[in-house]
This record gives sequence, C-alpha cells and structure tokens, in this order.
Amino acid sequence: MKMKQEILEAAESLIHHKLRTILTLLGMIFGVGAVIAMLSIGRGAEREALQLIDFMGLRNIIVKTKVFEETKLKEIRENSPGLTLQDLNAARETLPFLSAYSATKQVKVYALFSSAAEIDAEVLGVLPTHLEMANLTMNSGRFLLPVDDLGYAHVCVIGSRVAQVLFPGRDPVGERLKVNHVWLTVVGVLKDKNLIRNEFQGVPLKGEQNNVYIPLQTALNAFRFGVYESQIDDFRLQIKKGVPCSAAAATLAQLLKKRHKEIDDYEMVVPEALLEQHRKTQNIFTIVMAFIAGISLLVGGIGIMNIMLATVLERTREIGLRRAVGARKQDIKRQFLVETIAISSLGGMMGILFGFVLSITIAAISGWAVGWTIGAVLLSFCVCAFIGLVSGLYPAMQASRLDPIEALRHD
Amino acid sequence: MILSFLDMYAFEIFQGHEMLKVTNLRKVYQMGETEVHALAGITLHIKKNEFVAVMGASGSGKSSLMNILGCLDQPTAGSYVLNGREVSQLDDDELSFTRNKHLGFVFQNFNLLPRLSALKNALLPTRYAQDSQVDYTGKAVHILEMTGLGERLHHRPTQLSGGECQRLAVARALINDPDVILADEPTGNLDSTTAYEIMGLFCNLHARGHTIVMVTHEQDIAAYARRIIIIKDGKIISDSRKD
Ligand SMILES: Nc1ncnc2c1ncn2[C@@H]1O[C@H](COP(=O)(O)OP(=O)(O)OP(=O)(O)O)[C@@H](O)[C@H]1O
Ligand SMILES: [Mg+2]
Repeated sequence: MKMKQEILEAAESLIHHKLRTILTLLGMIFGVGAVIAMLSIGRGAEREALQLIDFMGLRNIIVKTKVFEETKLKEIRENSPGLTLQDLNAARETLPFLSAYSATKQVKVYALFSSAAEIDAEVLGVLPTHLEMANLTMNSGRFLLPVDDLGYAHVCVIGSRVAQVLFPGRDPVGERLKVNHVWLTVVGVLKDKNLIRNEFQGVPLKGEQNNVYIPLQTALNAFRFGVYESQIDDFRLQIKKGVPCSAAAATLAQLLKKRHKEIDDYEMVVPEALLEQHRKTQNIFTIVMAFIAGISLLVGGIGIMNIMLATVLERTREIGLRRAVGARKQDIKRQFLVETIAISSLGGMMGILFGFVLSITIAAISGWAVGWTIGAVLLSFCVCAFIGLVSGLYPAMQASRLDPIEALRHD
Repeated sequence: MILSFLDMYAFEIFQGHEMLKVTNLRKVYQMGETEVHALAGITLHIKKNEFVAVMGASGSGKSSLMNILGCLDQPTAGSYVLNGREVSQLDDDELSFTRNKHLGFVFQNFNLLPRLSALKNALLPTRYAQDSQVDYTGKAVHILEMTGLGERLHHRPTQLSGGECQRLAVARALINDPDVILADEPTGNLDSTTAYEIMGLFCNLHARGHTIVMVTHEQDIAAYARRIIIIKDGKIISDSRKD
C-alpha cells in the first residue's frame, strides 16, 4: 500500500519532468538497447551456427579437392592424382575409430529432363552411406544400395524440388529421367531438410532439394570427366564417439600429406574445430559487448545521479516541509531511492524496447537471424534497477541529511 | 510531612497540565564573526488548551521561538519540555514523530507543495503517520469542508487564493489531531475579513481543546487569544491573560 503510493508519487514526479526524464534516460536507453540488440543477434548467430554445424556433422571430418586454374592444375597432377577413393580407403585402414564414411563426385550436367520437363539440378555420385552421413531421410522409395554401386546400376534418388519439377502430380519412384546421355530410374525421393544459410565460416553448404544422387561407381563409369579432375570431389569420415576429432584430424592430415607427396591439392574441414572457432569469436564478441554495456550503463548511472542531485537541490524546500510534517530521514531517503529506481527501471524498459526494435531492424536489413533470450531482458532490467539504486543512494543520503529548518529557509 | 507529599502530588498534577515548558531558552545565530542573539533567555509555560498570541517588533525573535517550539530548530541553550518530555533528549526519528503526531505547524508562507492538489496537501502529514495504511481521505475532506475548502479539493495551491492557501495550511496542520497548533503569522498577508475567518477557525479549535500558540503583529488578531506575550530583543517583556 505504502510502496504503491511511493511508486505512484515517483511516477508523478517523473511525468511532471517528461523531457528531463527522457533526456536523462537517453544514455541508458541506447546502452541497454545496443546490448539487447547485440545479444539477440549473437544469440541468433549462435543458434544458426549450431544448426549448421549439426548439418555438417559435429563428429565428421570432411576432405575436399581444391580448385585450381588449368595450368597450375596440370603441374600439380604430374605429382599427385588428387583426391581418390584410394585416399578414402587408406584413411579407413589407418584410422580405426571411424563409425561411417562417404564420398562424393559431382557430374557435369548438360541436360537433365524427364518425359514431362527439364530442370537445372546437381547430379552427385555418392556411396550408399551418404544417406546416414548427410543426415538425409527418405520421403518415399529407398536410397542407393551397395549392389547399385557394385553393378553400376542406372538408378537415382532425387530431392523434393527435382521430383516436383520433373514428375508433377506423379509418384516419381519407378519413373525415368535422363542425365546428359544416360537414362536413370528413380528409386527414391528425399524428404526436405531446411537450411537457414548456405555458407558457414567459409564452408559452403547445400540443400538436397535440387539434387540427384546416383551410385558413385555409376557416376565414375557412365559419365565423362576432365583429364585433370581428381577422381572424387570430397570424402567424409565420421569419428566414433569418445575419440577426439582433433586427434583424428591430425592423423588424417599426416596420412594425406604423405599420400599427396606434400602437395596441397585438398583441404580438410573439421566442424568441431569450426565450432570451437565460432565459440572463440562469440566469446570475444560477448566480452566486448559486456564492456560496452558496462560503460554505457555507467554513463547512464552517472547521468541519473547527476539529475537526482539537481532534483534534491531543486526540491530542498519540499524536503524541508516533508520533514516538518513528520517525515523521518529514512522516509526522505526512500522517496528519492524509489524515484531513482523508477527512473532507471523505466530507462531499462525503454532500452529493452529499443533493443527489440533495433534488432528487428538489423535483422530485416542484413538478413541475420536474431534470437531473444528472456535471460538477457531480465538481466538488463535488473542491472538498470541496480544502477538506479546505486546512483540514487548518494543523492538520497544528501536529501535525508538536510536540516529541516535550513531546508525550509532555502529558496 | 503528609502535607508536603500532597503538595508534591498537586505539583505533579499541575505539571501534567503543562503543555509547553520553556526555561531560559537562548538562540544565537552565528553570522561569520558576529553573533545574533535572537532569543536571550525566554522562560514560558503554556498549559493545555491555552490560546496564546505572541507579539513583538520585527526581528524580536518570534519566529526563532516558534521554530524551536515546533521542534524544527534546536535552541543554543535552555530547556524545552513538550508534554512532559525534554525535547533535546529526543533523537531525530522521535523528533519527526513528535512533529507528526503532537504538533501542527502553520507557516507564515504556507509552504504548500505546488504539484499536489489541496486534498493531497492536506493529507501529506498522514503519509508519515505511524498508521499510514489507514485511509484518511474522508477525514481530510471533512477538515477541508470545515475550513471552507469543500469546493476546492482538487485545486492546486497555485489555483487557490491567499486566504484559501492559508486555510489549507491550517487544514494540513489539523489532519493528525495535534495537541498543539503553532501558527507563525497565520494572517500575515490576508485582508481583515479573511483574517477574521481564520481566527474564527482558531477559536473553534480552541473550544475543541487544542492548545494554540500564534504569532501576530496585529492587535485585533491578538485580541482573539486568551493570553498575550510580547517579546522584545529576544526577551519576554509582557505576559498578560484575560479571563
Ligand atoms: N538563520 C538566521 N541566521 C542569522 N540570523 C537570523 C536567522 N534567522 C533569524 N535571524 C536573526 O534573528 C533575529 C530574530 O529573527 P526572527 O525571524 O525570529 O524575528 P521575528 O520576530 O520573527 O521577525 P518578523 O516579525 O519580521 O518575522 C533577527 O535579527 C534576524 O535577523
Ligand atoms: Mg517571523
């Protein structure tokens, strides 16, 4: 009851000085706003990163062919054949702690069509293990089998967009499509997996909607490739749980270095290391943010203290009168503390609001993901209230120390 | 033996009637090098339900005395016993409590809070009362009606006339039912009609048992009181009662 009245009085006093209140709070509003915006962007980035790393497979190691210009490539190929299935097999022999593996070779497509339509899609030769490795799920039919690979079977599994375009209104399983000069029978359709971004820490990621998967051996034998092209584009190894990816990566790096005669015509991607790297940048970001937040809140707090000192001075007679009609020192102290906490909490709330608007705007302009956390909001609010308490303490003490009669004589 | 005991007993009763008891009170203001002796040894006893007017030339020390009686200021020397308690022995919270509960001070310049309505100004002392949870609105409205402000409850002080402000100041002094009302020139800047109205109010309060001490320059206003004290240069030079 009494508290409610005190808060009402504080609110009245703040409303009475609208402009002054807003100006006082500006620093705090911008500070908190910036923090909230940065935190939600950071949060969004974090969520995105985790999703993307999950997509790449946290326990995977990816080895890819490097792209070179023609003359350079020719020179390199004299010493190293590039990435081959033998590399994969050697890796499987050397590294005993693999739980899965896969390899990919992309086919250059000149024409891709069914009896109904034509489409521009990617055709990838993969191993049957690709389904599990790439975390794909079937919508209908089946994925490629080892027998398909062994028998160079002319079969394929297609993504949802390919299915939609080439076989509108029909079940694609059992239908045929033609890639360049080769007819393939569709044996399965994949379920959609939604990706939020097609690149992470410089590593491109692709969705599977627009892909046609064929057995790797079929790809290698039925299609033509450039003279200097490596046998496969990339291979992936999944490391058993409990074995550190970094150790496996180091061993693999040694092996490949020897096999490629120290020629750097491939690159390794370790999602776990990427995650680590991401965390590090995230941490630096957080520390810098906390620092900026601290400074802006400090400035905001000083502003509030300044205005409260002015208010105490301005309201000396009021304080004198309140003391004269029976207010105790602690009543006066409370009054000014409640007022300062009210003003800084208000600043906090406006800052949070501003932060929301800011992050939504940034998200709209840049296309970055944003993520709210109740924790960040609560924390900023509490920090603001605390700043209010701290910066209000001194002015409130000043006010309560005034001598009643001196205060009444003040003009 | 018995007689002296009875004497003492009677003295005790007599003491109990003593509302304000000031003995050899001095107030010295230090102005750099010079000292201003505003009160130079005042001894004054005021009983319960007395109506006292304090008169004297400007600068004679009337306000200085009132401020000390109102527990707003401390004397340089001397004792002040209010309702049986030595004021110099009270700590700050007790002083606040005394000002809130036992004293109603009417300031010469009203000292109303400009941002609050008449009603809220009148209610201000209840906010610091020990039973501040109680809703005093009804009582405040009643007192404001009694002081002729029934139609002005939601006016701000700036929207009130001087006389109305003065009456509001009186209403505020009454809200906590104080034993003593201390008024420093309550009619100082009012025309005579309004001044007489305020005096009518004081007479009513006196009739209802309040103790009143009031400072005035005007003879006809002082005539409302039952006892007139005249101060000159910080000393009482005359103390007369009428019956
Ligand atoms: N705060 C102060 N500091 C120094 N001197 C003061 C102070 N207050 C009052 N005085 C001096 O003390 C003397 C008594 O002042 P006081 O205000 O008590 O007079 P008063 O009788 O109330 O006069 P008035 O009728 O004009 O109100 C005056 O000479 C005044 O100058
Ligand atoms: Mg005076």
